Amino acid sequence: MLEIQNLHATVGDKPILKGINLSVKGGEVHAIMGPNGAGKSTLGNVLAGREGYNVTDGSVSYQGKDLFELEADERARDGLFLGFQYPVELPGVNGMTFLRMATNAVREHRGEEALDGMDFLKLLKGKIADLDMDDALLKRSVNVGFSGGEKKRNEIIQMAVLDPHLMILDETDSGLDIDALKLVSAGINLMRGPEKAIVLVTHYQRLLDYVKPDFVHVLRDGQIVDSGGPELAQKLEKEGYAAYGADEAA
Amino acid sequence: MNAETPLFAEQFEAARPALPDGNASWRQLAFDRFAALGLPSQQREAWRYTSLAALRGELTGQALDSAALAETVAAQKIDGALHLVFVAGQFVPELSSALEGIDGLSIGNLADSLDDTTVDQIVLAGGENPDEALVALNGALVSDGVVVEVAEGASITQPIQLIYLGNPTGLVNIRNIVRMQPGSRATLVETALDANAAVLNVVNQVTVAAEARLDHLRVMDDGAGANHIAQTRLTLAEKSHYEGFALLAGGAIARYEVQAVIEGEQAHCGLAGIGLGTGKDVRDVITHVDHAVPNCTSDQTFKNVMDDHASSVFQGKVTVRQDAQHTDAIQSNQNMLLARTATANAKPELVIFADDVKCAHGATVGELDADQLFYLQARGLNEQTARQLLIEGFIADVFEAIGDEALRNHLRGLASTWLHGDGWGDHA
Ligand SMILES: Nc1ncnc2c1ncn2[C@@H]1O[C@H](COP(=O)(O)OP(=O)(O)OP(=O)(O)O)[C@@H](O)[C@H]1O
Ligand SMILES: [Mg+2]
Repeated sequence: MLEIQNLHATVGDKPILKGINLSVKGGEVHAIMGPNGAGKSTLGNVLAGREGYNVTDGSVSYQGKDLFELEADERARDGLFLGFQYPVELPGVNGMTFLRMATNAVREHRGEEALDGMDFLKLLKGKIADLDMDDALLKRSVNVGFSGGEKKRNEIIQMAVLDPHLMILDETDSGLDIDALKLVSAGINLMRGPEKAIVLVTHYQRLLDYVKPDFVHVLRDGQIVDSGGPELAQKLEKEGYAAYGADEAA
Repeated sequence: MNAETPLFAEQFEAARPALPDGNASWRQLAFDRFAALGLPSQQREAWRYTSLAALRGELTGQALDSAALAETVAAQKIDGALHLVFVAGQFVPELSSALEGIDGLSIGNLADSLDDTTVDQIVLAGGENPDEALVALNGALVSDGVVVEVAEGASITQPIQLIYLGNPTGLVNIRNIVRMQPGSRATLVETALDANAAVLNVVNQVTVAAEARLDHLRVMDDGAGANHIAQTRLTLAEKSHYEGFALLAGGAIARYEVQAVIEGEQAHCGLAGIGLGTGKDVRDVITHVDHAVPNCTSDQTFKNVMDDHASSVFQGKVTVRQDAQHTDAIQSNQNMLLARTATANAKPELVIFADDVKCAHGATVGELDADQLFYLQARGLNEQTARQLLIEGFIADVFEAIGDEALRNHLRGLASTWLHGDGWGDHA
């Protein structure tokens, strides 16, 4: 699904990613942990195609294609989903309208018919019911005035409706209360499947209790410095990142 | 006397025979007032951004065939409204609704309603200072318009829609006189669809009596080369309410001017508008809300989206006279520039003589937000769609000033159509 080789990237002139190697296959869940400023969100942004993040070396293939040949919106229509660490507020943009437009952009790309208002509502109601959430948030402007937890929930609703193949969820568990964490985790688990891959960026072992990862990686100063199974997350929870050396990056 | 006067005098004489009451002395009176002032020059602050060059040429031109316009009109008619259609500045009954039989509403086209009161009202407006010269010129050359009176306590649920189109290449002068009697309510919509007028010069004289309310919408959907200059003069009595809304979308120049005097306590004057411009369009908003008495409120909200070499102007003045204690006046002008070459000019002006008042104004100029664009693109929307969604989001709240949902959606739809048209969003 995703092959990252020796990926180097800068933000402005500053080198942030310094040779990332990572291979994610269909059906797998990977967790990426690491200290603040290590480059986790940068990795997500580079993969999603954000402007201002410059790839200086290395390659990424996604579903067998060169990812960097695709614009951000093409990647999204091709099934790459970035759950934002800080979802952006869109004043005046109605949540329902936005999500229907996004859904139809993806559907048309897949050769499916665009949904009209009624059919979209049906799809949405079904997904919302699966998630055990409600659609109140979608009646407002996207993310405007949402609490931190509500923004994260909204990301999960979007993910469920858009039905992507590769999901990079950047701290989707941060700022959630205990009940919301369970809901969000259940929502992520619903997305698992042989054709789907999930990359969870998180600071907390707790999420990984609900969403069992196949692999856990430690990202530090722009490189993956350790990889292992779920037990690695438990070790990090206890010992922190001291074992990987003092953090020069911060 | 002004250097341009002879040119205008010649054209005035030539135009008179075709005008209603064409040879009446009141037209000469109005013309003399205009002639004494001449066209306002762009050295005057209020006219700095609106060039009247188009007026310095031929003022009369070929009228278009009204039958051919029936289709265009049909497409713009607001469902359920009372329609009055003006082709080349003249009322066309065949394209309009029947005007009789609505309880409490007296309405007729101006050319057929030129009684002494109306004539006095026309002639006495404008001509006091050079900024008002076009009002005086309008008085001299007015071809038609409406005279509307809503009777005391009457509530007219049908919007009254005036549609201006098919204007010739010259100058068209329309005058509307609206008298809201105590406790009455009505909604007036003016829609201009002019394809090619050099200048459409519309003057509205509105009086809102005690406890009356007028919702007044203006759709400036003119064709590419058109210049549309609209002025509304407004007086508000005790506990009355005026809610003005303008969409400045079409035409090379769209100028929306409101001069409001609040004369009765506890009245409210709301003005809102949206300017959309591309190419070299000018969107010029000039307001003056004069708080003459205590305990009144006014609220002005204008947003502009300018692309390419377009420019927007907001010159919003609020006067709070010495007696007008407890005035609450707010004013906001927000601008989004889609291209480096577009400009926004925001010039709020507060003139306050009373000491116990709340007055606030704010102006912002910004561009499309890269983070917001990326968020939308990361969900699969292409750049063009993402930009349009954000632009529509930026102006979305201004429409809230329109109380009636059907009208609100109508205006939203028109704005959206403009933003999806050619020449938008590709000048960044
Ligand atoms: N737009 C930017 N301009 C300048 N520096 C940036 C920018 N974006 C990221 N950086 C820098 O890149 C480094 C990595 O940031 P990144 O957001 O990827 O860290 P992170 O691992 O996600 O941290 P956290 O756990 O705090 O979210 C930081 O030092 C950050 O300041
Ligand atoms: Mg981060």
